[in-house]
Amino acid sequence: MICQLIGATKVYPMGDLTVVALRGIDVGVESGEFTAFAGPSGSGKSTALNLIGCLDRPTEGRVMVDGRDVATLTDGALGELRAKRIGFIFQSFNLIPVLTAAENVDLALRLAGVTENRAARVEKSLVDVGLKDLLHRRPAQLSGGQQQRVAIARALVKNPAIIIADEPTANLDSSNGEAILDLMREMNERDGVTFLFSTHDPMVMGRARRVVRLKDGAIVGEERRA
Amino acid sequence: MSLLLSLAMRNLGRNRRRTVLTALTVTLGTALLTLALSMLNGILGATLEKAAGMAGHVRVVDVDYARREQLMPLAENLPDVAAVLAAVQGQPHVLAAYPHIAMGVTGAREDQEIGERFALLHGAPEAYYRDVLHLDQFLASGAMPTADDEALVGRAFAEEIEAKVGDSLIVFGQTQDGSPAPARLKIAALVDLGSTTQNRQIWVAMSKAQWMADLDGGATEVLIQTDDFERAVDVAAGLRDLPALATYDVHAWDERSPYDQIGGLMTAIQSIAASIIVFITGLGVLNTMFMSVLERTAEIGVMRAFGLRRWQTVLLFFFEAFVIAALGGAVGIALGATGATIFGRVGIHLGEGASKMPATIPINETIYPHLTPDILVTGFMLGLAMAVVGGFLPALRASRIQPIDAMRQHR
Ligand SMILES: Nc1ncnc2c1ncn2[C@@H]1O[C@H](COP(=O)(O)OP(=O)(O)OP(=O)(O)O)[C@@H](O)[C@H]1O
Ligand SMILES: [Mg+2]
Repeated sequence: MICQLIGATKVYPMGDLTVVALRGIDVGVESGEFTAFAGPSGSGKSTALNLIGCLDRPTEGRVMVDGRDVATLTDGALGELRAKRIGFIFQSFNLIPVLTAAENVDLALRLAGVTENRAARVEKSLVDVGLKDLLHRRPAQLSGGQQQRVAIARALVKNPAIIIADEPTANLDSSNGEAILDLMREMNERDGVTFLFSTHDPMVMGRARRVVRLKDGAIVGEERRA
Repeated sequence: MSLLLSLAMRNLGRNRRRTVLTALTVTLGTALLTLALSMLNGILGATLEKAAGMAGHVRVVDVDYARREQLMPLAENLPDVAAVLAAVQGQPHVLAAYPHIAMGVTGAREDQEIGERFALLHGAPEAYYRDVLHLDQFLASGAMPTADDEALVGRAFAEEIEAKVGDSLIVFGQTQDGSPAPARLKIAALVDLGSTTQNRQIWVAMSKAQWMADLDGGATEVLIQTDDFERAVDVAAGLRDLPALATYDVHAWDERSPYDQIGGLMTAIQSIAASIIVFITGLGVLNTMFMSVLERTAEIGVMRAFGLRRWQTVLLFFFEAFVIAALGGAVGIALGATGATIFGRVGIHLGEGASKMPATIPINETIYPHLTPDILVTGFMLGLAMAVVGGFLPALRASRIQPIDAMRQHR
């Protein structure tokens, strides 16, 4: 098991009220999975991903990554864990606008503390996502689909244990969205990269090998396919 | 570290207009600072050099005279000036030494009644008037005296008694034992030193003052000019060790009241002026830096998610602020230096206020900024200080951005 939520609850204070985003869910992700969190808006998909991605801490319950309880880690140690073991893909791509595609990918390596062989690794991952001719373009000079490919390369380059993607296709048209999903699936099948993503798009769900359904902060169903 | 630096450099090019505006704020601040410090330095340097000259870089007086010098006690004098002069002449760094007598007098035009018109009367060798006070350069009318009974009269005093060049003047001083000592003087020239207080003085021949004070061969002070008024303390220390001067009070100008206070005072004024400018400019930098931070919340969040540390976030914005300040500051001190040089030639008119300063602090009504390399360095460093002042809070704010903010952005 790479990551696991055990009785994870997340409560957000909202003025005098509180919003319960997750109600004690249990879910785990094994190495090599290609899993989607699905559910209507507000069901807690992002909240769950944020916990597994160590971007946030649960109000109650435990988050395990690499067999370690995240609650025992300092912010610094958590940052290091994230830098080395977890890759992120965001809905709005979130590339650094002043850096080229290659530099964006390289940034992830540098922040992960990788010193060796960086240039070759950067190039390989950009070639893998089909951008070998666009290495030196800045984000503004790339289409949305191309930007999300750079983001995938950026997440892949450090060989993380898991890549977390919150609605990776939500800002793309359907053909670009499908291409991105196909690319992710290809990486998963070819190199065994573990993906965990969220969506409410049936097309995306259709490509997942495991779908965990959330509603009102609770798990209401699960499907596995070949 | 190099990663942060290169990121910072790239970020500067991002919103060029804002970067330029921020840099211009610093440019303005440092230019102002360079000019202000040069001006203060101009006032300080010129004033102190003049004050030091008038006061004597080093002064030899009777010990009791030093104790009560506000009263200018003629009785506590140096009876044998020649011996003192002989002792100091030829000593290291000593350029010249002059006997001097100062006494308060009342005076009037010969054909008028003596009233409540006061002046400070000086007796000293003509060389002192020319080489130290440069009175020959400040003549409003007339010419330097040629005879013992001729006097140079300050313009303000002359106007008060309605006298002009060529008129005769009666002054009442006193002898060293306190008896009244009248003298009749012919006005050889009127002197305009630039301030009313300074223009209420009379300069007569040494022999005339000695005669008035009944101090034949004596003086109240011996004023010594050195080759560097800023090192007078060392010279004074050397002279103090001479056996011939052992019983006298020998001190440098800046060891004596009121000049011993001026250095600290001027430093305080400069610090206050500099702090105000740094603070205001810092606010300008703060404003634009804050905008950058807020705009880049998602991006910082992403980098934090990828492992950027809080302190690295702080550094990132500090580097940006520093580069802006360094560029803006370099241009600023160049502008300020240009301004200071130009005004250094033509001068800046201060107005009548300067005239009301006491005669012991001779401030001119027109000041000439004086630029030194020190000021350029200080200006540049304070430009960087503006970056610290303006960059601190935004950088701190940036360091509060959490990795999760990368996720929240698209809500
Ligand atoms: N920072 C927050 N402060 C307050 N409430 C929050 C916060 N983040 C999420 N919530 C609330 O928690 C609940 C779950 O939100 P979450 O973002 O996990 O849903 P989601 O399934 O990702 O929805 P969507 O499909 O719209 O992205 C929602 O009711 C949401 O309003
Ligand atoms: Mg969401």
